[in-house]
Amino acid sequence: MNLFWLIVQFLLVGSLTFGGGMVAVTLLYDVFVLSGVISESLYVKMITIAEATPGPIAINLATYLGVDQFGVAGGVLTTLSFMLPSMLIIWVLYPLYKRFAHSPYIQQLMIVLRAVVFGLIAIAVVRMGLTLIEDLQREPIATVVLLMLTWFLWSQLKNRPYILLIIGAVFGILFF
Amino acid sequence: MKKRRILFFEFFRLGLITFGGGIAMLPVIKRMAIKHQFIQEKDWEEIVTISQLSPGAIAVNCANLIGYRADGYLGSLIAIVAMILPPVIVITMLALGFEFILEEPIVQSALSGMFVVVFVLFVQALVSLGQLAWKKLWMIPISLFSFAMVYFNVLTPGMMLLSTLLMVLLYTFIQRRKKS
Repeated sequence: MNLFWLIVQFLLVGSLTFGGGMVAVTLLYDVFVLSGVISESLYVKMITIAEATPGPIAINLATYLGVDQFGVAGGVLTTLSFMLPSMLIIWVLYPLYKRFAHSPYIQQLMIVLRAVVFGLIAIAVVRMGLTLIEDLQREPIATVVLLMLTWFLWSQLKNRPYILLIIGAVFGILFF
Repeated sequence: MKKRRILFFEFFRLGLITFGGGIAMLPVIKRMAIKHQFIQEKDWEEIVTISQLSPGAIAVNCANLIGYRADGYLGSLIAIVAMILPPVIVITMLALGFEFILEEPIVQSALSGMFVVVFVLFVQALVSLGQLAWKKLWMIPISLFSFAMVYFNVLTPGMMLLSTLLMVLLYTFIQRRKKS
């Protein structure tokens, strides 16, 4: 694996991340974990940190993977490669927007892509769930309590997820 | 010049304080952009639609469009760079420092706890996406199909998305030919 391969992968993932950055979690799993470049447990840690730090999750994950493989330069290059395709596509789309806004192609595409993206994000959720079940065997009661606590607090705190993350961290230090 | 400075600092600030990205970030971006007159209220819907239609992180796409409206291509670049700079700095510092911090038992425990929270955040995001995606019931089998194809390694997620793109365009094209 070299830096060129890494940049190409992120250009591809950046062009295919439809329906928001979360799909990148599944796309990057395919590139990095299934090919054996990094381990599943490291990837889970990266997702946790990417979600627990400010900024869009796809950007954070791109930076983390780049830094992990090639240091600071790697992080900057992967992040820029991830961002470049969408930036160029928007520059092309925007001036044309009025013309295709009501095109049936776009309407159909939005609807079907959303359904496919749902399936792909569901994969990330299932994989994380499987990891969680492994953790469950170590600390069953604490994990279930935290899970339920977060679930019930979510509707109150969804606009301030960092409070939930702090609760999770403190809970983890105390009970895990 | 002053406009560019405001553009940079406002998006830098948003990049620093907003978690999760995506849809949750949009109301905050909207308020900021209208306050500084980078865009007008009536432009917003168009900006959100294009941000979601294009690949990439929605919040970054939004920054791109608002920057463009404020100051053309240079404005785009300023807004995007400002927004991704804080996460890039934070993650780089963490990733480099984590080599040894990650082994600390207390950090391991904190991360395990946070992972449970992250899992709930993902499930909730999936639920709200489902409410949008499954308005038409025939979308459910499409979701299940794409899940199965990728989960059981028949297709890579990239191939799944690409073939969806091509098939929908082809299907719509044929439908329209039939009608006319």
